[in-house]
Amino acid sequence: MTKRYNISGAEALLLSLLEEKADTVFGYPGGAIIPLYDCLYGYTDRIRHILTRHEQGAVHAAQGYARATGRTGVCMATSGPGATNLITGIADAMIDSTPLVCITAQVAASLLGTDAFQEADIISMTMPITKWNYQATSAKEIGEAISKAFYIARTGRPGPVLIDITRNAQVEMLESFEYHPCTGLRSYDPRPQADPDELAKAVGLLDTAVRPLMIVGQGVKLSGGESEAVKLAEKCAMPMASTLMGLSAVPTAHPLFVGKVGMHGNVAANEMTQSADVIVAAGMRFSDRVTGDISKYAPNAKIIHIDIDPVEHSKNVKADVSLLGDAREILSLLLEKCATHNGERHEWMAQAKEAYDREYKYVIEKALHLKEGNISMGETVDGVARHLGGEAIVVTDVGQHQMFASRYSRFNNTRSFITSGGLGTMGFGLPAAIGAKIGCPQRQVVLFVGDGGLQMTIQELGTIMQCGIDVKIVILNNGYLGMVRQWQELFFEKRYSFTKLADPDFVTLASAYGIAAKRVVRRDELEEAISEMCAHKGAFLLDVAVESEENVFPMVPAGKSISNLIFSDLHHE
Amino acid sequence: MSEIKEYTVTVLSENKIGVLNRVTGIYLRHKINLESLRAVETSVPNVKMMIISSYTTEEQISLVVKQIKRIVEVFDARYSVVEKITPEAIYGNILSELRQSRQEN
Repeated sequence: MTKRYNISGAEALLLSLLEEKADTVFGYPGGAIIPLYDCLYGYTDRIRHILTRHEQGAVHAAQGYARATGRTGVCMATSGPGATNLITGIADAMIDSTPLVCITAQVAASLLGTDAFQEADIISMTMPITKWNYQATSAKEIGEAISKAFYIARTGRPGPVLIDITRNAQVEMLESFEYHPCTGLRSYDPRPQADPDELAKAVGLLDTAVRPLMIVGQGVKLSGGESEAVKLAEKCAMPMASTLMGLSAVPTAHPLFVGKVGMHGNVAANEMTQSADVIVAAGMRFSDRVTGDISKYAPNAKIIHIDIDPVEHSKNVKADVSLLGDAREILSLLLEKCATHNGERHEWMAQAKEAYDREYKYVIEKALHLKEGNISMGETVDGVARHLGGEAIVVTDVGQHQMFASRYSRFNNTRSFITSGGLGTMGFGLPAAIGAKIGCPQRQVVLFVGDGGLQMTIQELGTIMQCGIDVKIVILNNGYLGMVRQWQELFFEKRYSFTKLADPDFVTLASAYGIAAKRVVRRDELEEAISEMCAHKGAFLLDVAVESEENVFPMVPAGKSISNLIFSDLHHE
Repeated sequence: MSEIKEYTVTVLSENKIGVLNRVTGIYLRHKINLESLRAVETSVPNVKMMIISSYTTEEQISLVVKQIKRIVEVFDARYSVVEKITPEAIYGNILSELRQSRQEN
């Protein structure tokens, strides 16, 4: 950039954002951040600011934006409560490896540590949930802090970074300002290279594997390695499963795709994990929701673990081969070096077919092809999925609806499934859907949300109204905190302790915000309502009254082996 | 693997505000008490070394060390079981005086 003279710290910050091509910011003003917002007033032609209704909405929207676009999400909040309201989203972005730059204002440097009005020690508070954070107490620190923030957030294993800027730093004048993008830090290696010996071992294992399985995690999306993953699977005739966070990295309709692993995963994906002789774990971290009882996980498999974060290697599951590095780079090296497997693995793929048939008989048919009774969550998701044809971005909140959305949605394109995986943050969905739509205005964005989670961040309907954001909101409304109720039913003798919700009239609520809405109770109205929603220009809220005590199956009870799938309430008893 | 021993961790890092907090925060997250902690200068300007000892298992300390290495400002971290540097060896006189004369307050 050209050198600028006599500008404030606040202006230096905005110029720095522009240098990083961050032209979209989600935020909420307040006392200590007024100087920055005052400066932003003159930059609205270059920086789009989305005013949310709560700082939590801003950070989740920035997450949705980042996850949909692959760019770094930016949010800003004032000091004290503004900053602390970001915390849930920052923790969510940390565990789900989402690149974020969070900018918080802080009281003047002279007041730090004095319990000044709206002072909160956000640096200490966010230390364990940020990849890096920094407090700028003078204007001259701002440019470097922002350049490091973007560099650290997006490189290596991505994550959230927080920059806290004191009020005086925003208003101080700089005689001159020049932005230098960060290109490296001597203590930080964001691109570790895989050990060639380990790589050779991996190739050897793959070339001799009889029942290989690839498990695709979010790292495949983060590295842009989707096509390498698919090509490697095709070359080795290797079925592909996905974690929850990895969904949409490979097309659902691919003949080698066998579904999602984990607690509410597909039968084929879990059972094949247990019988595979070689597992290629690509950019996934063997979370407890994926492995179940870890001592009984993948007992027959040699594990080839691809991950850029050394901490993940052998943290949960001992890897036989550790490939440290960028998933795309490693997958393309494997692709180059692996032998082509001639023909299909008929016997191995027959296991996938048999497992699917069993899942269809015991679970899918019951969930999707009901003739009587209340509407099910599964058939609603399936109905929406048929309309969208795998082209939309599906966003979810957390709970039963999330599991149904992940089971029955279809994806043709990557970065099309946005959910809160590791942290399981109720309230994530609505603001994340807003962020996804802002980031990808040309794509249809559909949110599945429960009646519980929607009410955690329902104030963001105001953001949709003010900014005219076209998101389709499908409430799978069972009048319960359904996932907790399911556990209470199955494991706590149906003691439904505080999981029944008295809900507002969501259609009336939507109309108060000027958002088109419809409630569906009967099965024969569902199809038409979905068509109406999908065809509607602008935001639409579809409140679907679903069976109140439906359960998500198959299920691996917490702490049990993934071999112990249960298919129904009956099966469990 | 699960035997509790005293492990000494050394951390080589940039001399920057907050690095120590990030390091000790990782111990806190694992609920490991620190027996001793100090930081020393190295022959390189602005690079320091922390020396931290704690009682824990090898499984835990190896994960702690990997998580310490992940801190942006940290160059490297290692753990080992070493001879104990006791407070008696260094502060024997004061401690002896304390034992004999001064009441705890």
